[in-house]
Amino acid sequence: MTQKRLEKSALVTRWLRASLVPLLLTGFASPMLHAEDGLPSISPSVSQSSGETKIYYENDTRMRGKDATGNRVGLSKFRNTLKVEHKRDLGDGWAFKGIFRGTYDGVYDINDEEYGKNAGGPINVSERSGLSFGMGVPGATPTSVPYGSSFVGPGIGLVANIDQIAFLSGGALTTTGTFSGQQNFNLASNPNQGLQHLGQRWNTGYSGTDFGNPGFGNLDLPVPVRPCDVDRRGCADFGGYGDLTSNALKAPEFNGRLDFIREFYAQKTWDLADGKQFNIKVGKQQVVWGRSDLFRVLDVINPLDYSRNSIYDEFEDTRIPMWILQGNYRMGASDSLSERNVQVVWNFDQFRANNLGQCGTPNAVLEAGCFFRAAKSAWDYGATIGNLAPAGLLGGPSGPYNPAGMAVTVPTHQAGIRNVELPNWSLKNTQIGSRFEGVSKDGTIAFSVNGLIGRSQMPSLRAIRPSALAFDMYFPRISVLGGSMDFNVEALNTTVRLEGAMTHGEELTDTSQSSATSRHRIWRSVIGLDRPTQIDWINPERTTLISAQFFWQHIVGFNETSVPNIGAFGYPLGGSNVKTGTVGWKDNHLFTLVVSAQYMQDRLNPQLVFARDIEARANIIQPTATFLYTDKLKFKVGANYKWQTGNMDRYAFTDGRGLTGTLSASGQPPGFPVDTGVGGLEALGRFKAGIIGSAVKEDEIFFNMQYQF
Amino acid sequence: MFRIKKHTVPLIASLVMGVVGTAFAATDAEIDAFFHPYAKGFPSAPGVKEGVVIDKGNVDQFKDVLSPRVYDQVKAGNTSITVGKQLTAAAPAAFVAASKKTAAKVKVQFGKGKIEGYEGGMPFPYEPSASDPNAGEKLAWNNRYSLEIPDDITMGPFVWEYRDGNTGKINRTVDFDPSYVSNTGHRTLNKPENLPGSDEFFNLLMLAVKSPQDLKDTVLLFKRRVDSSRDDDGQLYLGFQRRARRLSTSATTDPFLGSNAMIEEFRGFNGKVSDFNWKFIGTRNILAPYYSHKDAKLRDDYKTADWRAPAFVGKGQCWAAVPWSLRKVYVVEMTPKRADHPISKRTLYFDAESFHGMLSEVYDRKGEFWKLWIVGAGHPSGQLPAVAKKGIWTWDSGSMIDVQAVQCTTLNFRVSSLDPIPPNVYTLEYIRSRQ
Repeated sequence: MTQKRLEKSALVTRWLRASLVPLLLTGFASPMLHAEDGLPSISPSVSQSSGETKIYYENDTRMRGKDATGNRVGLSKFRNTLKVEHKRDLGDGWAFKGIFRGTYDGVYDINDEEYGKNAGGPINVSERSGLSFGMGVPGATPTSVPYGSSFVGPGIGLVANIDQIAFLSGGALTTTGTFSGQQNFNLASNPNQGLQHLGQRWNTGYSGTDFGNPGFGNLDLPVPVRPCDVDRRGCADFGGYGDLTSNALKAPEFNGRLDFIREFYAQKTWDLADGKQFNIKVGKQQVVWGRSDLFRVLDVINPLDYSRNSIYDEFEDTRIPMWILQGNYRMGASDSLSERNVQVVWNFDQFRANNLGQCGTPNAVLEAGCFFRAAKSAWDYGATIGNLAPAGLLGGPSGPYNPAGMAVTVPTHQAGIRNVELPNWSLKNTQIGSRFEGVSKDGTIAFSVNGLIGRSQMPSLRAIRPSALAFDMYFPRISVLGGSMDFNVEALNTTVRLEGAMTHGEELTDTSQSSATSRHRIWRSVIGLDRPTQIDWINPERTTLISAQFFWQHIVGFNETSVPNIGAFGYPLGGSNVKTGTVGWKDNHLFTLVVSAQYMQDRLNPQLVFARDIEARANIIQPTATFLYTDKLKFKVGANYKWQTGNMDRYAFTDGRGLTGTLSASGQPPGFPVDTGVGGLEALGRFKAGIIGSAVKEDEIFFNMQYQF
Repeated sequence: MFRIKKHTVPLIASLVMGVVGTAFAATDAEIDAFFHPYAKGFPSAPGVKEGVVIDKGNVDQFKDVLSPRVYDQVKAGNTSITVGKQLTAAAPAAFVAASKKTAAKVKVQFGKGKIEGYEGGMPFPYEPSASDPNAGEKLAWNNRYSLEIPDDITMGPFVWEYRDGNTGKINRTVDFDPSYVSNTGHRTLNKPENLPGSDEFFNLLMLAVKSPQDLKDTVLLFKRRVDSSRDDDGQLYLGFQRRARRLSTSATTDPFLGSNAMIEEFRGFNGKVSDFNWKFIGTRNILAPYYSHKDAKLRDDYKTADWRAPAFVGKGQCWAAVPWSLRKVYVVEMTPKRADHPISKRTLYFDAESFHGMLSEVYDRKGEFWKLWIVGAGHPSGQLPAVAKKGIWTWDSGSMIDVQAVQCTTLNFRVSSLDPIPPNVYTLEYIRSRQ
């Protein structure tokens, strides 16, 4: 049987599982009276007294235009989803709800040159110095050299003693040494195939021509982009993604974490004295906190799956349900409040990170998955990194100060991500939170106070030796303390939503630290204003909803300085200054605006969403129109377009190459500066560009259809 | 010395009453008569007999017993009306007793939406007077506290159909199941106690959408304030967001979930009294859908083991196929004070016995006829046993017909119980935790 047939066979098996498992589950559950509402004194309506099953099919098809390379991407999603929901009473007041979901995304079969087994290809990494070309390396051009063939590298031309590299001072590359250790670089296991330049989807920094300097300031990291059954390089479990095979990408729910079980929980409510109640809900579920749309400030109990459709799907479909026990003590009214509720949430599931999307797939937000894969591949297999060192180190036509970039083939176990330290299941790695929610006596204000401790769902990269460009990935322990509130301003006919939280313990990459990371407190907050407004030219018969939100994030202890882009021996590379220190923005602001109208008994819903990342100067506009043809059949068409109102220079950041001893096994020699300011757009600029800025070349048109059987 | 002209006295009295309406010394006999409009027999009109069918061919002879816009619809051939039996279900004694207590001490700041001294029942349980400038608003207050909400109502399935007003094609079907409504303070039929929060809210509503897919798990929680000058409190839980969102003021005057009815139009009128100027037009005997469910033409859609809802017929199948009977009604005209309100006027018809706002003629901002609200009241004898035992008129069918957009929303009721509802269902936590 061919590999293709095997894959298809596995896919069929997964589909059968997708259809049969829910049916089996629903078929064997004992039919009991409905008790969902926990209202023993109320006779349940007849329609709810028995189990109820609903089946949905959804197709989501998306097309993209040209990416930053000028390549027309074409189909970026052909996602077919079957969802089964089942509710049933289990007796004795317990009620069950299950949601089962299976997805097949045909984009990996249909557009496999972009996202599947034929994605990527051989690449020439950037070498603005033309060193390899000058030395007659086959395939080299005056500005590039084939991956794995750079003149500087093990067993190729110049055998560099990279241990001794001090990029900015302290001696040139030598030709006498060898790489330390027994590491190697093997083109047989690490071929020039299935590769792309890191960031090529959204920027051209890898080419070495940005920022007005000739190379050294612009890192070119190659990254494998094919599914992990086709190409294992750089594959590791970064927290639910990063090591997925073709089939796992096509049908992502069918994995060891049983993600096809979207939700599976039971709940029961006990009536206590004085009208109080106690409710328990246990099982795989979503727990939603907060009052914001589009932003997650308090809504952080469940990690998020950005790989499904980046930020464009409803959170309900992209939250990753976890096995959670929650207890709710409904205390009723007091002298000052009309409602009081205390909720305790224990997420006892094994840790899950946010799924940022595997490299080589359509939705790799921030292209972080590509950065991680490139780094992991570099560690495991070695890599030819374009513009890694200044040609000045070897002298050359412009003398010792020549800043033109030189590609270096780095052997295994020198640079990149060594280990991914996913937290194992242990009591202390589980997540526990609590919320008090109250409603004022007259109902005009509803508020919550929330607290949560657990592991960060975003990774942190810690240098494995001082100032090294080699890391382990961690998910640090964090705590979140915040609250939310909503109220109406009657005079303005406006509902105000407030939400804020201070997170302790988040780790951010910090190029000024020898550990390459620093720990921060981060404040995130949202002010939301919702106003149904009568706009006669849109619809004279009803209001149009206008919803605006302002997001503010403040990093406490933020440390950033602006430095000239420095080359060898302090020779300035020219171009824009780059930033060094904490990666990100000290104060980041985003603005979102939603305008939503309704026509034809609310069956036709045109909507416009606009968002601007103010610091990144990145914008997105997404017009959509949803039409309910019948109660069971819904269509949605739309597009999203992103653009920047500044140039990408503002994302430029040092990348750690200034770290003396960066590639040294012994770490940073004492007395040298940690970072002296070599940088460009890659690899850290993505974290300043943000989700919108780093997707600026992912404009889409889309069509969505949903049918309920 | 001032000489006060004779006609000046009522003028001053009116002005004073315009600010604060004090308790009116209605006698017990007057109140009893008010609550038993058919004690001395049902009204009659020439030709109005059980079994008569009124259609465009003969409607002119029944013009006096039809509301103007219903007459227009019949005249246009959009529907016909079958005259049914006249039935009565007078207010329970406890409700009447509470009304007497309230009437003796209630004070309303007319035009301001403030009420004090309310202790159950209806605040103005006596015949309105054409000379009373506040008669219209008094009737609105009576409707607000009427037996239309007999302390508690549990419904389900409660199905709204959004129809094409020409073809009858159902474009959307929204099933609210379960649906609960409760009064909070001075309850008279069920546990005679005040629920928590009754000093702030007099009435609570929870509607949970079971289908269709795009609205599934949406829940409306709506709390009406005792102080009718303040905005009511609304929360809308959105299933797809899994969050409750506070409703802003104007949400009550938007089509509710795309239907042809606003939240403000539930029950004929479900808004702030102080938002409108009220005018009492008069007392009339007109045909209205008051009937026994047993006499309605029933349909199989949404049927349960114990219930079938009335069918819909006529143009666009917008009209419940139920008998209409001659009823005594109070006619009130309400005009909004807000310039941006989507209507210019409603003419409301309050049934004299049940005080349901069973008929409402709605005019758009240009003053043109826009919508017709009709809610059929089912006699207790035709209702489910748990409802029949309370002995009061109950929601049984309904339509909101938009004559301009040529659409209608038809309402299929199944009132399953009038027994007490745990107050916990009217909480944010409850609507969130239903999923």
